[in-house]
Amino acid sequence: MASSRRTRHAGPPDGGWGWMIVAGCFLVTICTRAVTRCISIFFVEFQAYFGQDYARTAWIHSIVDCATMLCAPLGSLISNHVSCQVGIMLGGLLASTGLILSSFATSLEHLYLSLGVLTGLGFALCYSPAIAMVGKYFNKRKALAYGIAMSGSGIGTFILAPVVQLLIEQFSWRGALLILGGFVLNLCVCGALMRPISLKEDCKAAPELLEQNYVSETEKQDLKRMSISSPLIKLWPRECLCYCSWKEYDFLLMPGFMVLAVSILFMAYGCSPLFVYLVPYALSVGVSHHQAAFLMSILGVVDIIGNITFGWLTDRRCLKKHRYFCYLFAVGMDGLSCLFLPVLQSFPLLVPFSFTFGYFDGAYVTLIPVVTADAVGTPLLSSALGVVYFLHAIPYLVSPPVAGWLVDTTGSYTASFLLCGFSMIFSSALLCFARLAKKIKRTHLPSLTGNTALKQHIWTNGAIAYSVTAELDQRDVEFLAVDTNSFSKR
Amino acid sequence: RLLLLLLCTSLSGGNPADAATQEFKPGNKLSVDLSEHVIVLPAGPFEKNISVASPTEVDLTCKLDENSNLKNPQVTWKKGSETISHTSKAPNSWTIKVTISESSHLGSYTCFLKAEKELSATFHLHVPPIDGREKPVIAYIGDTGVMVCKTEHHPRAWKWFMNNGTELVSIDKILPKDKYEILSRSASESRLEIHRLTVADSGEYWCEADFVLGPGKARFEVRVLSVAEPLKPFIAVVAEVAILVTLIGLYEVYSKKRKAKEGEKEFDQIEQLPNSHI
Repeated sequence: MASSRRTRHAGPPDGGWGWMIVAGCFLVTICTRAVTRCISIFFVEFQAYFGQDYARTAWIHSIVDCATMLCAPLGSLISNHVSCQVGIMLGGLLASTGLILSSFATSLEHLYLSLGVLTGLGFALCYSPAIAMVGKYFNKRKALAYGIAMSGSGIGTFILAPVVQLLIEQFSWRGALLILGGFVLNLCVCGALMRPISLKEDCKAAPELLEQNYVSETEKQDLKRMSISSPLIKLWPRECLCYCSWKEYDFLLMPGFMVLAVSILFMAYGCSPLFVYLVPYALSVGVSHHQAAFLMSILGVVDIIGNITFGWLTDRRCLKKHRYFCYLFAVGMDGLSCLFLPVLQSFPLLVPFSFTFGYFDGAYVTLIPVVTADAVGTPLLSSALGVVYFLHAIPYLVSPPVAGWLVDTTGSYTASFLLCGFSMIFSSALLCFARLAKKIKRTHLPSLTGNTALKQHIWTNGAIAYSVTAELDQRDVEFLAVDTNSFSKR
Repeated sequence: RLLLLLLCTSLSGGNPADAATQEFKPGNKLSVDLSEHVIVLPAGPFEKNISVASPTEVDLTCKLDENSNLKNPQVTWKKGSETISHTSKAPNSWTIKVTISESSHLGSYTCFLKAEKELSATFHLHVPPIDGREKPVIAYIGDTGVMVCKTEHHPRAWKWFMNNGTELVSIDKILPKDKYEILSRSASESRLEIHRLTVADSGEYWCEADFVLGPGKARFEVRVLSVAEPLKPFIAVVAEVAILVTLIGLYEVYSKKRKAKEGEKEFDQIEQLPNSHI
């Protein structure tokens, strides 16, 4: 009997197999984000071979990025309902198939479908589940783990770019795509590494959820819910985390998450045109091609440093409670440096800009999963991350063309950079006000009603228990003990 | 005090910029009639490349930097061994006017400054360079090979040649005719497409742009590979993935069995305890 009982962890292990998960997530980030960036190296080849202009070829990159972000919720859905390992392996196979098929392409439209949609979908199935998995295995060193995992995109681009260039020179773009397809198959290795973990917190909440399902059946809930929850009851002994799909997205209505979602929309709107227009802006103020390329390299390298150092910094005890403010500080600093950009008109002035922007860009990218986990809790992290990355998609699509249109109509880059800067500062200010409003609300409410409100919340959605305990840090053990007593009484 | 150099980046055919970046550069196509090219000594650079597509007049100037120690040098302008008379538009500046109406007028024009030191600067006048591809063009058997020639001015005509080992043969004379396709999306660009490639198609190809003042050439090397070539690294990577996944799977199974055994041991121990109490 003991063999069938799965070991329940008291809390996230913060080490051990967790580091293998970080390595797996690092590889996932390389195979998805870095490969997406390296696809633009193929554009010169596609332009020459198919005889099309730059704009039509650049659509491929937009389609891949868009598909990766738009299908992110699908990725978390599959990994929640089936298994994280199956989800990532499936994603790896899809992406690899997409790349292999595109090596046989005969037209640009063929490439849009195989390299754009299929590969993007494959990447989407891998990205958010892998990141969510890291969050489940780490608590104390979460930000550092995320920093190391996210640095994969920068390090991957750094290494893959010359390798892809070499492959194209040796084997032409068809052979290079074929070999890249083989490389992306490594996502299946990452999938195999993602050993599922079940935390005590998640299992504790589920029996209560079950009771509520029985109660809701008698309370004349709509038939749909009943039909969904009855197979759920059968599945319960097998999987702790098998939530009903409607309940899975309950966090969407949480005010904390809604504020975060809106701020992410503005933040993604602000940061995306910068990577597209930094080099053309530098060239327009008289910087040479080599220096402009150097600026982008600085941005890339400092991004990696920002990922890891900021992750390590925010794991320190003194900064841990203030992770939220560290995140909005990073976004705010990025916005501020954007505002200064139109004033910087020479290469020696643009270098510190690259440093600052790159560092804080790496910083907030590391903290997005951490802040999301703080807002919704670990069990729902996978779905929440899916939604967060989905929210990145529309600004990524819309923002560069709008900035381009602004540049064309006003004749200079000032308007578009100012818009980006204000967008990011607004995002950061929104988060600041939301936190202040929360604090003011808490101090005004009398303590008794505050406690019962919290307990009721825990009744309906076990995830909050985890997020509350994260905030209370020291007192979490006592709180859980109080909790279990209250549950048994009911 | 910085002396302004008129940089003719377009005429000297710099790096092929992206279509995206080209829009945002300051207008760099100078009109054909006005051309003045200056080299400042002793600062340098000591050579300048000037592309001339059609008959025009150029002014070439050698200027002495005001802060240099050389005083009143003796200046001669030469093309090869022929001396050209010059004028002095300003103090410490010597100019020659070159009228280019045929290809013999192109070449290298040098100004020599003789004083305490001897300095020289050269202007190379030539037809616009053709951008081809320095690295070999790789293609696969049965696929289409594409070569693109670009230049910044409009030549009168484009011609393509293949080197068959001994001489350059014009592409339109090679049979079968439908194997080769020459397309031009614009006057400054020409594409050669070779369909149904075989290994025999590997070799040297030349594209020639016919300008009023003479032809410009670019060389391509075509290499035709078999499909097996990229398959080797591909299969190697797939094999590595399969091995790693199997290893991880075996490790997981092994560690689960070990934990199950440990769990049973604990269970037995717990069962024994009440007995021991009794």
